Amino acid sequence: MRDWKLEVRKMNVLNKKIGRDIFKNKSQFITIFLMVFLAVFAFAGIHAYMDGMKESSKIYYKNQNLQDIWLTAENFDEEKLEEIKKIDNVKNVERLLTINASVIDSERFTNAETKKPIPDLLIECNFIETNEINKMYLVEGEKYSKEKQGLWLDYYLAKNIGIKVGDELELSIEGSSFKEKVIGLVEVPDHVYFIKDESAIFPSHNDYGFAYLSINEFPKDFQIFPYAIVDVDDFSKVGKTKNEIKNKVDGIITATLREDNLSYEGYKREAEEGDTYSGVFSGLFVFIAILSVVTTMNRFVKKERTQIGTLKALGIRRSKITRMYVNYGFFISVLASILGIVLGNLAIGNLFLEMEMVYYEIPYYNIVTIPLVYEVAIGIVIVITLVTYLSCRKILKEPAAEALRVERPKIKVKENSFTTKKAFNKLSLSTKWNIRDVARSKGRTLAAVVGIAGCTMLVVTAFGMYDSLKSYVSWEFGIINNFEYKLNLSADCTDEQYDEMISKFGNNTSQTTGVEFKNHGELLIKPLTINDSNGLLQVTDHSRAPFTMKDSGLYITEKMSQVNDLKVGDIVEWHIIGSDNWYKTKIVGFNRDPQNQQFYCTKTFFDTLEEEYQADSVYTNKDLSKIKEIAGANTIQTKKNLEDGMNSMLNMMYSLIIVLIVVSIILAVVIIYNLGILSFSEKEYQFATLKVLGYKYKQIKKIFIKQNIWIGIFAIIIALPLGNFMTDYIFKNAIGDSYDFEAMIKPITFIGSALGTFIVVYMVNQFLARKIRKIDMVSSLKGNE
Amino acid sequence: MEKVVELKNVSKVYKIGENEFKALDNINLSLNKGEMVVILGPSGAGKSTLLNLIGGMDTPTSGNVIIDGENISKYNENSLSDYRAENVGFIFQFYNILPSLTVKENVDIVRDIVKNPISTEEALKGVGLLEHSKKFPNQLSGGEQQRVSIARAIAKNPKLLLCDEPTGALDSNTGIEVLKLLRKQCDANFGSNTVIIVTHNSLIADIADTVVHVKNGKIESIIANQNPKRIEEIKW
Repeated sequence: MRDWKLEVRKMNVLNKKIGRDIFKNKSQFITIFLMVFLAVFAFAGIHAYMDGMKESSKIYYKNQNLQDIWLTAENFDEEKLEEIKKIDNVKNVERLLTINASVIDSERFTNAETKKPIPDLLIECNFIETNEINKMYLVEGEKYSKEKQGLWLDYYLAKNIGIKVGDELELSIEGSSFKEKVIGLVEVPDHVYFIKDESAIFPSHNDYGFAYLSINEFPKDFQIFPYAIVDVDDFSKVGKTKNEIKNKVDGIITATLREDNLSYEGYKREAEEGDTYSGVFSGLFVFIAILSVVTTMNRFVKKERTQIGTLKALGIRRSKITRMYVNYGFFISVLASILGIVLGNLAIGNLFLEMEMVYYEIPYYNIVTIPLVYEVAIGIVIVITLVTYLSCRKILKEPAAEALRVERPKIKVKENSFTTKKAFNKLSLSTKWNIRDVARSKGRTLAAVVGIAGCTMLVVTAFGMYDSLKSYVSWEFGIINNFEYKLNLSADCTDEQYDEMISKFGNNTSQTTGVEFKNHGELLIKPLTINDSNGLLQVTDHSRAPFTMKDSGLYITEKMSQVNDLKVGDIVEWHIIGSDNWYKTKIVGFNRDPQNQQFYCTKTFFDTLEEEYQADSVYTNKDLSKIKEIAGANTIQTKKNLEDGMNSMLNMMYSLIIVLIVVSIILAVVIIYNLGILSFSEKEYQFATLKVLGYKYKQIKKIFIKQNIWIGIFAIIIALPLGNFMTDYIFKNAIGDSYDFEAMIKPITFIGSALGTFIVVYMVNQFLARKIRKIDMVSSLKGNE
Repeated sequence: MEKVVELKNVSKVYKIGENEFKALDNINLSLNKGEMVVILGPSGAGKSTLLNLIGGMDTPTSGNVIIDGENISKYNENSLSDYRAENVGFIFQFYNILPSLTVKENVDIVRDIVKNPISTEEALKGVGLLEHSKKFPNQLSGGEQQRVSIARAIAKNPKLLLCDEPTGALDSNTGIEVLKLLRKQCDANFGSNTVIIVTHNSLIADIADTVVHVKNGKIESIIANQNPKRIEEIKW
């Protein structure tokens, strides 16, 4: 029979030992805690906001019934609507008329960012009948009804520029003005990422918004419906349904899925881009931290060998001893993981989600902790616990008498070892000592190299991403966009207006249009830019250098060629969307574009086709700073504005990269410090012996620091190319097919990261070396006995 | 006889929390050059503390430790390191040799810090381990490991050989072999080397020239052994 009272007493003693051991080795346990905490903190925090973005949109799209198919035609009349409804899998169809209206007297409103009056306030007006698809989410005001007069306005725009329910707006559409009262403030699921056009990049919510009105508000005689949205029963068959609609219903110009919707795709891309690179990062954090913690726990248990042997010899059950040692790693990693998840969610998760949602219109959003985060945290705890268990079990398997002795180093004798050579003996004492030590403690050396190299790689990658994004912006705005001003022509720009612009600002234009092409039996849609900009919109080659395109065929961006398996010399069968003229054209070359993967050609080539060139952009380097409005042009964009827009869009990424940099640096410091402590504590006995033999503090310090500096330098040398490789991997493979740029890390980043890591290694070791002075020879040697 | 070790009014007090523990209490001791001295006493008597003070591994709370006319209790850390390097060889009960170094390397390690060492080969030959010079400690028996420790100590060619329970972890026969080596070292250099052995084994006292009894931190007696036994004659 077990004496339970005795068992409890034994446990109490063991618990006291746990507490005292933790206190005695507090530096090591604090670093273990910090490593697990930082890894989980970054992993959970980044996931909380990335997954929060994805999950929030999923719920929003479902609740507000985001359209499944988007159709365009000249007019969706009743007959066409009925035809679509009859198609299998179509649940519902709604049609709408979308047209931009300018707000008269918009200067009375103030731009929330610039704090200046808004000269041109444009509102995309959607005239609808029913609202079962892309349902408005009512933030304030009245519910939508076809019978109601007034407009339901974009909530973000209203909030930013101070429009309230009950205010009246005077709108102008193609010269006709009308007044509408704001009767509701809304958010709509197909307007989550809402920009003027693709050149705008960044949602401003200050000079452009959207509104929904009943079709009854539009003059009856002019009512047409060029757009229709479709809701399907079975989403898995949506592709088939789209094709059926296109084939069976006459006059359909385009039929596109959610993926081709600017709002849906823009938001998804933002969530997934960050998801991929932060996934790579947080995965690395976890991996490096686990590696370091596992090494530490394994070495800690080994150090406790004689104590384990003593406990066993005293008759304490193996399971109890194992449990005691397992508890060290278990409780610390559980506590660190829980705190990591909670604080990661609260700090990184909430902060970044709030920052994102300033730009994306989703009414309800929340950070989300997906099961993977818990699984990773549990995985970390299990790995640490398991390694501690196995290390402990290995010792406990030995007879108690054997376990009571210090472990015999597993060193193999080699007859012709380099340490016996004359040249070796000529080396300095510390060099000889450390060469021997490194060669004979390969596992410990390898763990240190991997730990330091991993951290340096993280730092290089984080800074490298920052550099590469900056280099991408300077490629786009320093090389490709070789103009100062870009005029975006309005759809109703007349020939006279166009001619006048050309004569005033130069004949430097381009047209971008959608084309459909056949690729390995599949029909794909991509843009085609017809470039007649005379070098103001440059086309760049593989090494980012501008070149002049030939007039004999199509160019295709390198990334698109890789994704679609297209080569120079291939013939592409294609047509412009809306035109029935199909062409078979040779691909005559590749170009590279960091953010648009598409076709390019010259106007001279385009003129050989049966198509009419209709420029949509005019580029100029003339000074337009004093010109506010140009007839026929929607907007006048400066290169600086475009660049600022791009940088604003990247600001989120920059912020996240800064968080990654900070976590990488802290983790690096903690891991290097931990390795230093481990290295010191394992050599303390040897240093005590050297001290007894008469070695001076400086000589021992030199021995200690030299080895760690060698390891540090070696790890840094490995880490620099690894960091470059990792950055390249992230940009080339992980950030989606629409981007094409590689790692462009500045030499100063390499130098800075290498120097920074070296300084940390040096400082940490200098700090720890002070302990050599404090080694008490007597108790150190006795302790080892 | 020339004095090599002189302890004058030496006390060593350890503070353990609020309490003070007097390991040595106002000790006065003189030891002659070329002698084999055995310091005897029960556990906790202060023998090892005494040895550590003589070896410069510790400093007294009060009093003076004079070695060969030099007051080492006034030395700073660096001077103590020099003193240990040049004058003292240590032998411990559990050998304290470095496990990651071969036998030869364990001896070599002291040659880098001493002005007039004897060759590693000579030291190893002296302890009968020359043929094991490429082995690592884990391939040696306890007695052999202790002999490595002796070789390391004598390679310095020290004035003082301080041994803390050198036979404590060894069987009788091996212990006797070790004591023979210590005597050999004592007799080397025309009998100018001093060997001090701390032990609780009273049988070892029979081979000493001088026996110092320590109890409760005080010298109980100092006895000059007029007829020390030959080492072969003792057994435990």
